[in-house]
Amino acid sequence: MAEEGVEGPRTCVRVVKEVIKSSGYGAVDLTGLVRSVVSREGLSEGLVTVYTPEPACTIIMAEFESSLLQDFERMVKEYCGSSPTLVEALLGKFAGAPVVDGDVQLGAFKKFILLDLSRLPGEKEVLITLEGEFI
Amino acid sequence: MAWISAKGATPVLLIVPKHAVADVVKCMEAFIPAVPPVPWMHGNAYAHLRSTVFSTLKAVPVVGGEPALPEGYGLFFIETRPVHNHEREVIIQVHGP
Repeated sequence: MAEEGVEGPRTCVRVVKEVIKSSGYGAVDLTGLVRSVVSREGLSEGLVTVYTPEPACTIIMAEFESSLLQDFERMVKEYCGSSPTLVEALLGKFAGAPVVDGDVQLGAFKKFILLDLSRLPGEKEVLITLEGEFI
Repeated sequence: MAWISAKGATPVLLIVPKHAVADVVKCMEAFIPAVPPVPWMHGNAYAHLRSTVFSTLKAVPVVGGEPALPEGYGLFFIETRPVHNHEREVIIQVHGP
């Protein structure tokens, strides 16, 4: 418990808008971008979440490896057919991970990935929300 | 709000009735089979796919000092592939005033 008159760590929420390039169909590894935003903004303890407001795009967490991404594409086609909307419903538009001592806690292989099924190449927006204690 | 996260690319966190967890895991294994008729390209793809679809991050509000889980429910860490003597890391953060 904080003593009276002694300020504890300041907690707050910041939302950072980033724009990335996408071919319109495929996976984009966002992990480097997320780590750089966490570092730039100075989040030391808390949670980082990634969201995309783009239609027919989802945010997932998975290993970024080509044969696994092909398995992912196969599963999505088998379960959701050609409907990007169903993929959005199944996989969601949000993912998150804790930050401890300024480090995003993912483990050895897990990455933040944007899956774009829109068939619309170009710039895509991602919102990175940082919540917790900042230095 | 309590945020619970499992490190790694193959675990799953589930919030389910305690008596039903084994059945839920069986359903998950049927939904994404380890050995489908046409094998996965990536050796343990099934574990990764289960982890991604069912998630390694859960959020539970804290009300009156307790996580607001329904009566009889639990939060479970699920290994999605056979591993032995494997150490895993789960991070629990409680956010709020």
